[in-house]
Amino acid sequence: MLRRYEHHIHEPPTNPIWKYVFSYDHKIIGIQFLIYALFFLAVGGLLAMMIRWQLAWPASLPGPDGTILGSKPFPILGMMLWPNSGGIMPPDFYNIAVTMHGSIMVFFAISPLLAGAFGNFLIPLQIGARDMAFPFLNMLSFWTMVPAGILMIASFFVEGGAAQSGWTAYAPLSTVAAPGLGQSLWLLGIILAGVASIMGGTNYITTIILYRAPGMTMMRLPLTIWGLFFTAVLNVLYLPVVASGFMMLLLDRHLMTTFFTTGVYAAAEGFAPGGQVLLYQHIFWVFGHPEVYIVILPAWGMVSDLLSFFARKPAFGYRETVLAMGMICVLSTVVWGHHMFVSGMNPYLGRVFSMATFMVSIPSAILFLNWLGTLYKGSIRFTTPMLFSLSVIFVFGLGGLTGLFNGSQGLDLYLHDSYFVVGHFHFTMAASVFLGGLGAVYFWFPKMFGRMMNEPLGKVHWLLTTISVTIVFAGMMYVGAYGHMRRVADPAVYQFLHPMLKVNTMVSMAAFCAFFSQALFAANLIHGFFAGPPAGDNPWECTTLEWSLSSPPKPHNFDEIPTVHHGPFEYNNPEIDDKDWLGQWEPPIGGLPEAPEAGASDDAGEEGEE
Amino acid sequence: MHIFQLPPLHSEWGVGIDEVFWLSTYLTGIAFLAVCAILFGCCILYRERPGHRAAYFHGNSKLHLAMTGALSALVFLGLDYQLESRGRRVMEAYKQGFAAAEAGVRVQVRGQQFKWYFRYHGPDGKFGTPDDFVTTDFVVPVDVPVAVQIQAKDVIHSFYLPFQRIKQDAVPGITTTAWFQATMTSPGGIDANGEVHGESYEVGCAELCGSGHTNMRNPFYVVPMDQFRRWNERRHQEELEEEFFNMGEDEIDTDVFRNWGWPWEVRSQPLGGRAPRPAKAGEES
Repeated sequence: MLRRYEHHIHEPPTNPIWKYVFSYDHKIIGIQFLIYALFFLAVGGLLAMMIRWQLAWPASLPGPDGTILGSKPFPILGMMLWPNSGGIMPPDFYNIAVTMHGSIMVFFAISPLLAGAFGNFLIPLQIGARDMAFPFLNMLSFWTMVPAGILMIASFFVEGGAAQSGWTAYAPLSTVAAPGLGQSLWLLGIILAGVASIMGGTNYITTIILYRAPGMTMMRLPLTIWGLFFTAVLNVLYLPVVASGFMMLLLDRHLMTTFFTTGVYAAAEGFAPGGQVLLYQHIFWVFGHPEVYIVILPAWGMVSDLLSFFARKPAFGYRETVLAMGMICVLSTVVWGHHMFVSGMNPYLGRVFSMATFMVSIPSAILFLNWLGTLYKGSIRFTTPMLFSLSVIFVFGLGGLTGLFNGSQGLDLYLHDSYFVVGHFHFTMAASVFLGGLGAVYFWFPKMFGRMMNEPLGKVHWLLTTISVTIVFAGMMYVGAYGHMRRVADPAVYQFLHPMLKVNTMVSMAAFCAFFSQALFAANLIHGFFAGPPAGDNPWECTTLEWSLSSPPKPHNFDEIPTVHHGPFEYNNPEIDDKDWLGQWEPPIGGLPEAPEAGASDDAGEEGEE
Repeated sequence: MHIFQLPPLHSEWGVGIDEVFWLSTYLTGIAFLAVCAILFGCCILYRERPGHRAAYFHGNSKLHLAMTGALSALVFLGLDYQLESRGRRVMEAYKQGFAAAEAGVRVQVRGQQFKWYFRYHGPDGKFGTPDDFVTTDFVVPVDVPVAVQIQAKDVIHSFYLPFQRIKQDAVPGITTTAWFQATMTSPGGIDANGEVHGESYEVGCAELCGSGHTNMRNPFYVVPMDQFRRWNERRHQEELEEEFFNMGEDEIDTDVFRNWGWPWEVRSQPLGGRAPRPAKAGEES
């Protein structure tokens, strides 16, 4: 058996630099990631508004009687950035917006929000540890994200602008067809972000395996931790792949290698022959597909927990949920070719990838069964975190099911690179993860900051956000089914798309509504931080270990590491009389066992190394 | 009100695509409605209220495991197997139709930033001979299978015919293939002089290829066979006279315009890309 480790209690630093800036405390690092993620969520969201603005009023927008109405100048920023065109976005900036929106959201907003902020904050607390296995590495992982983010922002200001080849950065568009510093800074920024995530992932895996409290078996972990665990495994396995691919792009860009360079560019520059364009796509998507599961797994875990906590009922099928998440992880490693059905890849490979892709629906269905089974015969409290968790079921249902359209090799001949795909992955990656992340913020804000956010305002925020994002991405699927291509700055160029232009405008209006609704969230955060009512230890009456501590917890978390006797889902156990829940830190219902429990960790209470 | 709307279908093979699309819509729609019904139903029936206590079960009894197994079987047989087998049949039909297309009309397509170019083989039926001609209008006869071989000059593009439901990436360094049979003529066609006139359909580019990606649209005419022949003759005649094509404001550099093409590669099936074999002595590239 693995031995158990436990950190000593030591005095926290007094110098504010070590206490708040280069903190080793996982809770502070988690909050740093939260602020970082919310900042980049705003940047990514602003870029999305710029995309939607252009799609609502494209350059060839027809007016009555065959006139061209054309684009409208983008408010405020338009005149600042493009005074020469009267504030109207040039087409190459549209490609910048598309690229940077995608990459900032994926690498700098939602992963730092879910895996970075909540992973860091929650893992030691929920497993009963005083900190992560490697606190110094933890501090480094945040501070590696900072130069990464600076590189991304800086890339906007170099000559030629930021990267414009899509978040997928297909070669040769991203190599020889993208001269200038922007694409290179983008590549470096994401490589650095990947390094930070690898550091974090290593920390999470080690901590979860070695630092659990006595009695906290793997099968008594909250599902949040399982989601974060699987995310960390996928991160550690696959980020090196994309980092290598991006290194190869950098080499092609700057050192005249020809990994992916072929065609006229290679011939013209006298490069050595032998490059393979498709090689890049394989390398990217071997990472790219697990990446989308990296993004969603923490949200799945949190939603699975929150549904149980607020239905006041054990999580239905805990073991099956863990197995399903694990199965999806394994399957996610063998389906990457479904992004490449029309790429020129061997069609027999396409058949294999298509079959494997359809198999993912089975563990996903089990997740749904267990979520709905948790609600069934529960006693549901419609708090803001619960409302967000319920809406994740809704949007992930829509998104996951439309994956079945795209997974068919035949149907993808038509749907590839259309807005149908964009709608599908936004429902699964953006809507589900964003709504899940918002629910997580509302839920753990009291523990992080010791104050409650405003419930009614949270509910209004929830309603506006859920309805508007559903309209946005359903509209995208609608125009995509009609054949609307992705990444076109001016869809009105195509006559056949003219029936869809009004739908685009409606989608944009809903997107603006979604964006501005987040002001309610920002206001709630700020007000809550400064003037929210004190939260107390356990405002939500929940069972995981963090709710046994003060809000916020002491720097060393636990004065004494608790011994765990049951899982975190003891809600409405008929043997409990006085309340409808039993915390994981509390003694079991029948009283403490006399002999050490079978299945508890061997070294309960042993002082380990730091 | 439709859940989805597909664009006009002008393709015989494409009927299969639309069928799989609608089958997917119905099956996933049923699944989604079931999820929503249970979700909303639970929220209404099991909301917290006085005197109502939640049940206590972990969902690991034999009944619950049986439910898990039954759901997995239902998803596998009712959703996955149906959609995958139907989709595979559409793919098989696509692969099988290719042989007939190769015997039909053949066109070489090259994408470059930011226009498509189409090479027709001229009267001798061979590509890479002096009687080839290159156009930016894609003209094909109606109700005849058309095979295209696709290359890209610089970056990845994607040859896209929405009404025929086909999309195939144009990848530098390899030659990809596709085929289709158009079943409806375009509003415009070929006039008595063999020139295109009137409203056309559109060829699109479906892979981000740079700042002009959104403008990479070429006219696509589907015309009766006699018009197609007339247009071929006119182009061939022009080629013999070595006239510059008037493409509008753009200046055409004939070297760039004409100096591409490859010997037609006989393929057994479409889709898979393959590097073009090097030109033999005496064979023009």
